[in-house]
Amino acid sequence: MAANAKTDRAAPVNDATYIIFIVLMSTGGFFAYLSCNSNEVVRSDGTWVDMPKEPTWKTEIIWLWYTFLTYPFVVLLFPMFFASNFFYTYQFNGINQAHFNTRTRALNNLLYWLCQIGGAFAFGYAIDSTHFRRSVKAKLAWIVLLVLTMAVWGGGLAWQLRVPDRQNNQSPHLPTMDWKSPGYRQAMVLYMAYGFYDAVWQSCVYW
Amino acid sequence: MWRLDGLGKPFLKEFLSNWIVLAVALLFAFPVFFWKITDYVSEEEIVEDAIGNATVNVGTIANPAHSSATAEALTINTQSGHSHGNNLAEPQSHSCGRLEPRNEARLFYGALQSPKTDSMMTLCEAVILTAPEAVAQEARGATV
Repeated sequence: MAANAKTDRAAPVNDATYIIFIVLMSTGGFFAYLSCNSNEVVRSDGTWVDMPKEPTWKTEIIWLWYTFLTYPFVVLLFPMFFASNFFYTYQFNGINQAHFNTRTRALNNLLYWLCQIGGAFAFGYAIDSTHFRRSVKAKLAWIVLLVLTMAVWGGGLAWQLRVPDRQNNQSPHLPTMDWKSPGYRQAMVLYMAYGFYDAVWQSCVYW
Repeated sequence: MWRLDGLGKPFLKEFLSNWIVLAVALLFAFPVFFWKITDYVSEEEIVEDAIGNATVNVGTIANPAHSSATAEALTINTQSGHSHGNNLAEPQSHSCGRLEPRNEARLFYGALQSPKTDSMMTLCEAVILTAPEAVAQEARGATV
């Protein structure tokens, strides 16, 4: 984002952006090597981590099949798995790319993923809390998801109805907003809410 | 969604399709969240990675933290209760009731002392013994 902060048109990013990405990814990979092996980890209360036997691909498939037989209701969760990535296309292509110039897109992405981190933290702590029983937490989680779905996407509807739309055209030249444009604040809040919502949904699904 | 986007559908239609997919997914997941996620774990499966090839109907475990003790207790039970090996191996067909932790001990002693369990332990009613308790039971000569 910093590398593109001066580009206030909807232009392709410059080469430096890609170089920075490669450097960041390599650094991340290097840091991964520094982490401890699972079988050497000691928790804060002194217990060791149990290492399960490493499964082969055959045992994985067999256990997957076994899971379906013993817990058939898992199939009901499949729409949630599907939905958790379904809206990425709309949010990234239909909102971010279509309506904002380069640097604003970068800012949007930064805020989106920051909110994801925040959402994951918040939901993670909430779902692990011992104040409520597991069944109660499950019901609360569903209600929270329902409320968030209606609230966040209701706001999204309001915003989508206000901005210009395309009509069966792959790359229309819609007017692009900058972060200094009026009306950007609502879009920013909406986009951050989308990021938070994604984190909550995914955390719930993984839980 | 990619295909729809590639075709250049209006954004509003994309938005609505997303919203509907999310709502339907939540609807499908409703039964799971409300009826399938429970406070207790009812294990009716094979515990063969814990105790070898014995097939045991474990019953209700109120606290999953005791599951490691379960393995030891079941090992002791299957080793020592030879005359009741058949009973232990036959899975019970009725469903396990819900156990609150404080009722564990009461139900356990009730199962041991009641007439119908003087020669067998109905695993659905029994509580998982911890290993030291199982050894003490054996020492007292109680039927397990």
